[in-house]
Amino acid sequence: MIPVVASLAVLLSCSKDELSPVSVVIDQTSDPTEFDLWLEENYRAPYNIRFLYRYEDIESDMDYDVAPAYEICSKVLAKVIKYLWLDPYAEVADVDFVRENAPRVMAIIGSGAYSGGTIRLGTAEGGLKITFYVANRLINDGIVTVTYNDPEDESAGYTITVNDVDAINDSYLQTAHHEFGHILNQNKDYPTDFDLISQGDYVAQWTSVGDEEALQMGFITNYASSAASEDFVEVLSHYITLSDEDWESRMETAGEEGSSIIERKLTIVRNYMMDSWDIDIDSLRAVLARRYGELSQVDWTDFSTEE
Amino acid sequence: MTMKKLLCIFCAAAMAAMPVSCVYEIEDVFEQSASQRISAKVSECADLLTSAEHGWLIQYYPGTDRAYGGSTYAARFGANGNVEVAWEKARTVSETQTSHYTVNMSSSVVLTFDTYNDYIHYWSDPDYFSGNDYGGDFEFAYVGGDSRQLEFRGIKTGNRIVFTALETDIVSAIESISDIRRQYYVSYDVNGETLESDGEYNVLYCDVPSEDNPEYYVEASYPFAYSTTGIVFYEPVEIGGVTMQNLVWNSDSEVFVASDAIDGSGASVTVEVKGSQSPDYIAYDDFPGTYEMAYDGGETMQVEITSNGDYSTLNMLMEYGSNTYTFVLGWYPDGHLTMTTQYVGMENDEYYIWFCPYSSDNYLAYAETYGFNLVNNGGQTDAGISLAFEDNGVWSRGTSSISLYRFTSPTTASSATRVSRLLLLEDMETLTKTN
Repeated sequence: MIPVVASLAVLLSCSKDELSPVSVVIDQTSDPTEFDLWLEENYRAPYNIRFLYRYEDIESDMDYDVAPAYEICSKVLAKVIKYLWLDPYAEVADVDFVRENAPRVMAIIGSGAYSGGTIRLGTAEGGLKITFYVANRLINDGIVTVTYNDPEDESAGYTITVNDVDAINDSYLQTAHHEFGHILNQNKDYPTDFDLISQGDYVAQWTSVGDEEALQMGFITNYASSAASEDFVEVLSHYITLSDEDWESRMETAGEEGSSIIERKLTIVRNYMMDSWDIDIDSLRAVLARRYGELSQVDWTDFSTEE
Repeated sequence: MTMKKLLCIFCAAAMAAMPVSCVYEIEDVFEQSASQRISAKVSECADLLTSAEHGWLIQYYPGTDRAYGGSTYAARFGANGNVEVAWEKARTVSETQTSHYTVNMSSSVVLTFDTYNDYIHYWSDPDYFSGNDYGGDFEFAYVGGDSRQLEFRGIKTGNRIVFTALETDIVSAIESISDIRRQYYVSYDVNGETLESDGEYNVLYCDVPSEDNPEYYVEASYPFAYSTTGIVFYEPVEIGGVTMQNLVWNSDSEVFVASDAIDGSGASVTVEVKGSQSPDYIAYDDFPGTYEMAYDGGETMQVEITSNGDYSTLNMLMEYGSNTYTFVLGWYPDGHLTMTTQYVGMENDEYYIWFCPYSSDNYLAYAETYGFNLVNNGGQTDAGISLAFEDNGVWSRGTSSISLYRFTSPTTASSATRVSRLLLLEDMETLTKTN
């Protein structure tokens, strides 16, 4: 009784220092551009994803020297990632599935992140954030062509021609599907049977394995031979993004033995996606194939919003 | 009321009356919160950046050792977050690049050029060399300033970066710098000492006695940047007993005059700095004209050289058959031109014609770095310009002849795209201006 009364009195005597209604943390905000509004409508609102296209030091790895992305490259990637990664999953599963499982933050970096002769194309941190590097390759390597309506005045608008869809797959989308596979595996484990198929064939020095050799050993890519968990997401990401033709040609290269191993892995991947996530990867694959076919109809410069 | 209750009330009253820890309230050192103070600093920096009507001249230094010297930009900061940039190294000075900037608080108030700009990020983009070779910054900590001058520090290099408010538009500012740069001086005479340039970066070198042992000489380097009126050294330099930092270009007498030179006693002195071009220098504007190309022990062919106006490349037009082929030659202020593997035009709208280096033992090359240097063959005289063809040293077999080949592609020269030979000019000798 006594201590209660006493402490109440102490508390009361302190309350004269009133809480200021103004937050001490002041956000710096600048007026949103048309692109920012489009990102709000197409990334933040439906999927709860922050798409960071302007370089923010705290969001990038301090161990590397990197350069920001051309705004035009970020705009192309924003459309590509939405159209060929997020929307297909939303179409086959639903929006909630993507919102619950996709990383919260996507960051775009213009240059590569180099160390000791290797370059990073993407990184995923604990399923919360995915970083896409080498965005400026889109322009610098001619993957897309930007044509300005008025060469003297860039503000007069431009058009984008996509020259090389394979390069977009290799540099950005494989990374996205690959990392997304990891996130799904982290949320729901895949069956350990998968690990047994190529047990003993995984190698730390995966770069020493050639692509053809990897296929014949039953790995869809040489990187798949680095660990079972990588193998799993490589099978998933390549199966859904490769065309029938490309997949078949890889199976041919793999030969009877290699292709039968890959098919066994694919069966486990297929069942896992169905049992754990209620996603039919053949439907997903068909949706992606259709969307790849429709890519020429995408208006790369239209960032209008409904509001 | 029992004693016990009384005791309780007494205790409670006593506790309540006790001015526990609250009276020792810590006085705020600052009137405003840390967040308010830093956001005021952010606004100050952003307001100053946008306040300059014509923009700012930026003397930028990449690299912690400033071995690449300074590089001058002129930039106009818009309130909408866009920044329009002109640059002394731009191929076409009048062409500006626009990108985005942000002023925000991280470890301090930081100006970040946060979307890619071909000019600004030239010194910090690792994609050129698979590593950030120049070690440049694109994030700058705000130190302070006023409406005339701002000071920043490179986040990685710590280099001082000075912004000076412009009185002309950004392109005119860079044009005034070009006028000074285009003297193409490679050495400077300062009070009897000679400062030399490597011709590529804005750094001057001078051999000075070592501090440890004055009998030995060591190379001192003096990084500088151009201003609209002359040259500013990164820090005051002492040369020949005089300390100075700012040199003003006098276009009438064609010398730089130090505006802040003081001698050992601190007295102001007048110092003139006279620049010299390479002994082999040939002015870019002197090149356009008709030339005779000599080859194969007495054969000649007439070609035309025209200006691109960029003080970087010239076009060499060669007529053959009913077609004109255009070679792009690199111009260098040390008096040489370069001619390397390149697509030169179409033959009758049918084939893509490439210039391919050709060796004395009849090998053909496609590598874009192979080819000739055309070196000054006797200085620029009244008789005109005479250049000698020399192999540029990149191809182990050596380039000795000009060959033109038909290809099926204007972008890829390889044995897969090669069709047949159009022309071979063997054993190239000289290129001489005839009018």
